[in-house]
Amino acid sequence: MCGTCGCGQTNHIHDHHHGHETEARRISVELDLLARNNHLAEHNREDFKAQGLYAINMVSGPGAGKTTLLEAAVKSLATHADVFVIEGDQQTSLDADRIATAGAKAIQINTGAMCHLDAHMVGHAAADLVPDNGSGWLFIENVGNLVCPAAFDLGENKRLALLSVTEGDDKPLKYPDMFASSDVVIISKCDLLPYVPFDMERCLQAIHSVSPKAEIFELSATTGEGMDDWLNWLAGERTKEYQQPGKSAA
Amino acid sequence: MHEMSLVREMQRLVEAEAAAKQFGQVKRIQIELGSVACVSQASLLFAFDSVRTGLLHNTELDIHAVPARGVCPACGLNMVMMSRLMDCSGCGHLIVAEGGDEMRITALEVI
Repeated sequence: MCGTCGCGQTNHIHDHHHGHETEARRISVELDLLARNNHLAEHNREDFKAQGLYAINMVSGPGAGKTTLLEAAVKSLATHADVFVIEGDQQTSLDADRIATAGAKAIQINTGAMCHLDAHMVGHAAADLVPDNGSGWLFIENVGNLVCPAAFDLGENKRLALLSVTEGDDKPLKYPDMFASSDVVIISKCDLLPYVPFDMERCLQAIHSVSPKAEIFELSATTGEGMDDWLNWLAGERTKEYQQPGKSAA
Repeated sequence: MHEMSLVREMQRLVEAEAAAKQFGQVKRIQIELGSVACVSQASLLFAFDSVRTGLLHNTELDIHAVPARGVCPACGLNMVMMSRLMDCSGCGHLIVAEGGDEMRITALEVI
């Protein structure tokens, strides 16, 4: 029996009036679970733009080579612009240490139990890391995870998914959400192609079917092969972003 | 595992709603979940049971799955998509889902 009105049903909604103070009422709402994150991401995006920062959210499974790729990118980019890096990992500052050695200003976010970065964490980390008049590049190395970071906009200009040839050519089909939400896909560790059963054509097709508009680069951060193509493309995208009248990127 | 952060956000949103609309307990919370929102229903239910507190202490969670749509790029067939990628039931071509990424609270039954 219903404890509120004694009407014999136990599982109903009290949208009719009985005059008890404690009866249940139904409220229609429209509360988006990602609205707060998306709102903060838009704030980050505005702040980055006002500062002249170009932000890249790097996502991949653990061990795809995000940090190695970043080290190589930092060495090249830091010769003519400031490079800032936010490192997301569950624990340790090992990645931030490596990146700082390569020549960037780095900050580590230890996410603890969290399996992804969110716009709130990134906003605070960027404020701590980048001086008020700082401009240049902001790389955000997300937690190594091909599922959870997909839903969380950080305010980035580009989302970059990294896939190494040692992981297999079917990754884009197995984890389509992450690849579908990315603007650029890098196939890394290409120097290892002779040693692994990786079908490049099949992988390119898979990426293309999941994310038809994604730019794709094949490279090896270790040998440097293909790095220039990617970095030149990135520099071009940044120039496009800051070509409008008004604030220019330093 | 990001279902944990979604439940924390659910808790935060409901607490704000409770302050605005004057209720102290939630009997039922109804959410809409897109079929390609990258959220596992089972994980969300588990996270809800593990993380909720206070006015969500005795709350039942109703999940309404909202399917995404997809159009076959080869033959134009319209399909209901329960996952991001499906083979076209007409010609077998791979279809990528559109929409279906909603995750929102649509109704609360409150006291």
